[in-house]
Amino acid sequence: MSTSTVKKAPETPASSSVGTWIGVALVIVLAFVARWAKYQVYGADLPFGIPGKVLEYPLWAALIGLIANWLLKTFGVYDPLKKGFRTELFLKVGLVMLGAGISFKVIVTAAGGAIIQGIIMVTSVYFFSWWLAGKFGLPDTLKAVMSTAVSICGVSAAIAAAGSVLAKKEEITYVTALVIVTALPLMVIAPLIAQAVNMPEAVAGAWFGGNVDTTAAVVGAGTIYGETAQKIASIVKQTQNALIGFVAFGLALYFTTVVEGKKERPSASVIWKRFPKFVLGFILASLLYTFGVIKSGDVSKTISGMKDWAFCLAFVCMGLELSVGEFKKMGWSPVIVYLIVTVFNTLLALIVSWLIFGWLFPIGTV
Amino acid sequence: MNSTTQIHAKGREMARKSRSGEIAMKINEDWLSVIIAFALMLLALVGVLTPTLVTF
Repeated sequence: MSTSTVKKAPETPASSSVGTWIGVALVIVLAFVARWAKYQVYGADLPFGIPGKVLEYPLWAALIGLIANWLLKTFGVYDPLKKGFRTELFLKVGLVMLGAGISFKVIVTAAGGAIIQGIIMVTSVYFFSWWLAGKFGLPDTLKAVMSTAVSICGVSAAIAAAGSVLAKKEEITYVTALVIVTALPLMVIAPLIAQAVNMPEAVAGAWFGGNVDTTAAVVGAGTIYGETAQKIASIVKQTQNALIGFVAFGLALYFTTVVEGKKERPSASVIWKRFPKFVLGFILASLLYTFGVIKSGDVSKTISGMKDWAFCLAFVCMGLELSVGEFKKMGWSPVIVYLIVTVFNTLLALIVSWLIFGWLFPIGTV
Repeated sequence: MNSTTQIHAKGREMARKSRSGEIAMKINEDWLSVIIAFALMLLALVGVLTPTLVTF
């Protein structure tokens, strides 16, 4: 029997770089398409009294990203371009610029509630997820990555946890796919529910920040609901994100001493290493706005426009990065666990955010 | 081989690796996002970028 093999040309740094830039260019083109789609339907009357505002650009951008994702994979050209799909980078650029429109006083006020909410949510959801995953017999490493992702902030938390517990690469990609699959519908459904119960914007923002798993979808849900909701959701989520370092350190400590039975302890420098440094940029931008370096008017409008573009690029990438093929590899038990925990997370976040931002730290329009 | 020659040899090797892409300067994505955001905000502050150019 004779076989013929087609040798693939090795990927050179030059071809990789060209692929990355073509990927970035594609994301920009798709963002323009999302912006065009937004203007076509904005203000339209939808069935069941759903306002056209729900069809804001985060939905279009993610949907267009998903279609492009499917097309690129169908024609076999996804892999050379995928390095240009940078959800996290575009999102962080947008978040830093969002800081330039928020008074530092608002951040301090909201962060007080966000810290309390973050501690309650992260610990409750983390340990519920850990316990439930144990009942379904999932491996410890997958339990750790999944519980961190669902309780803190999705993809980046999953990566941080995976580094601490030495999880398998497939476990990270699997959880990443789970995060995006659940976050995309939540990004649209959560604002609809909030509107149905006439939820104040600050409470809704805190709810999105506490229950939607990935920061991009949190910003998306906030954007759909309103400007105040977008700001509060971002502050709450970033406060929660700041807890990644502590969880990563705790996990590394648990896995090295309890699971692996080693005597040496991980360094506390993990806390700083895993701290999301862009949060410092967000705070600095807010201080510049508070002290009048960044003034209202044309400068503020320009920064706000650039922020929206950065978010739109991030939402396109979120659709582009989804990989559902991972589910076939690892079975459906983790999916069931993840969905149950997501429902628990959503309900708990609703109660906690209403108590904290509706009663303990009430915030009006910002 | 004296130490100066060693340093020069190491430098040439590093330059070769850098050109061939075997090593690349890596900036943490978090810091990179802060640099990009502040660079864009600076352009807005000095008036290079205006609302008309970046309207969404």
